[in-house]
Amino acid sequence: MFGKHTHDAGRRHFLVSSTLAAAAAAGGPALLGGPAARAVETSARIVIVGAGAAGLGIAARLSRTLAGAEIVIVDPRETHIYQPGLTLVATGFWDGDHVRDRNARYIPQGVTWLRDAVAAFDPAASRLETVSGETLRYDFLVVAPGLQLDFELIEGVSTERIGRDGIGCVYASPEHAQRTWAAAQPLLDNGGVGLFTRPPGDIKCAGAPLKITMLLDDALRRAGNRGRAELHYLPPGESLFSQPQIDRFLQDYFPQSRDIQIEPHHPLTAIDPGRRQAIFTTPDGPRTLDYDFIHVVPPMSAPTPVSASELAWAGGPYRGWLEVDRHTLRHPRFPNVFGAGDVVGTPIGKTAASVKAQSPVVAANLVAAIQEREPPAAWNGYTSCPLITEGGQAMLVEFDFEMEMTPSFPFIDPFQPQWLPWFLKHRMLHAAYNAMLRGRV
Amino acid sequence: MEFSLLGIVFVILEFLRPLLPALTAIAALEAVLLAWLLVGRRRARVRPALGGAVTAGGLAAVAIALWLPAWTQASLADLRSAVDFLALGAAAAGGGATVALLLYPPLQILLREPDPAHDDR
Repeated sequence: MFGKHTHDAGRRHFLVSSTLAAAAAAGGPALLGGPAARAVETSARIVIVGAGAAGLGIAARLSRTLAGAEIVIVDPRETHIYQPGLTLVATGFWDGDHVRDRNARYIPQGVTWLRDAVAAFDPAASRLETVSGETLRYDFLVVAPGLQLDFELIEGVSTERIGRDGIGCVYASPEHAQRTWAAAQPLLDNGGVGLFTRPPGDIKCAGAPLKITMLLDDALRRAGNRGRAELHYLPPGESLFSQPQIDRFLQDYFPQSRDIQIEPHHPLTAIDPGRRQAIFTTPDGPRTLDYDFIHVVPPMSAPTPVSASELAWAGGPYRGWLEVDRHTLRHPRFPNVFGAGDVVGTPIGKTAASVKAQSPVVAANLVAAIQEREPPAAWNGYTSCPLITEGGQAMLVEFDFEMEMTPSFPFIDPFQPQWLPWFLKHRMLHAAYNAMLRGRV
Repeated sequence: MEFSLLGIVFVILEFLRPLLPALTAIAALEAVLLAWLLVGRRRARVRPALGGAVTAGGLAAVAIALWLPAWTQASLADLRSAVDFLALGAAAAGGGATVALLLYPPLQILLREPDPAHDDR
């Protein structure tokens, strides 16, 4: 969006849902597309930056709630990527087309879509400049452009290298995810050394590097070549996962159950693709490791127009990310600005599941701001990771700011790899995601 | 994260979105068949039709139970917990019941007999 690589569900429930789904079949099309009653009259001009999961979902909710508002979405991207599916593309389960969609399908009726990118924010004047030179004034602003991938911070790595010289990366795009699967084939066929990295700082879908590691381990076992491969997981610090109980589980599970060696304090700083060597900056100095396949995760940051603006945190652990109150998602210094999605500087939450929880909060609080009321809604930090452990198995991990487990389905043990979470991930979550884009969940 | 009942319905409708025209057509056809049954001057043969529908539904449930893991690029060997088996059983039972419900009206029409009270001969 800003010129760089920006992107952006027991049994009772199931039975009830099945029954209701059958009952609703005849009225389904109306439910899916029909307008809802609009409760709030306003002439407010609302600009939403970003047509990703957060931007579209919030636009849908606002367009159903507000009558008379002028709502503009700013985003040049025609293609919508279902990013939670990229790990399945990069490990050969899905084709790239499975995760490609069109933003046009989700732009709500009555909402203007400006196919442009933001060049600069001027929150003091309640306006922004676009790349094409247009000035947009707003009464309320929702900042949801996603984040950018900073491949240039790793010497020797660029998106062009993904898929070549044994380099893979799940994050960049469906094409790159497919190339990652191709790049992993020699390792799967012949064995060798597989390195799986993670950068310092906040990243989106922080479970993806773990999933890739475990799925390629599983692929090696299925190919009968696991004994010929050596797999290393190299995090920048001690922990593998932000939720402490899951972290402890993984610290044992990786070496004991999967024969994956954990190498802490190994941030990747450079790659020599010709020699297939990776250089890490460790507390003991630089360390060079040979590899046959390496999964690179680039550092990530807020899009430059955000990080360079007054909207960003000026210091602290979230410096450069969009400053928001972590519960109301409202900017503390510019009260007509709200944020959602990967761009916000909050302790956790750069996942689609977080967006599902954030979108209704932002919509409700923005409507309250229009009505000059106090924000009524609060995000508790809910995030989720269907942590795939192997093909056909996953753990449904859900938690909040307090790092407390918050299971949607208490009968699903979050510490046990099971088929049901895999079923949800493989077949149901994409539908949940699309319902979220339409502001329905 | 709470999923409201309506939210779950929307998720399922999104899941079924590509099939909604076909499902709507099937629902309409079933409604027509049911109406025909209700107004037809024929004696209902509940037990054979019901038996046929339940048998077909049962077979469908078994087929669904065997097929569902493969549909997720997994296998029955991937089911390892009681929750997995309960979920698969519920899905199979739900699918089988749907098949039985859909088959009952056409089976009733196929198996029905003329009602003597309305026989003009």
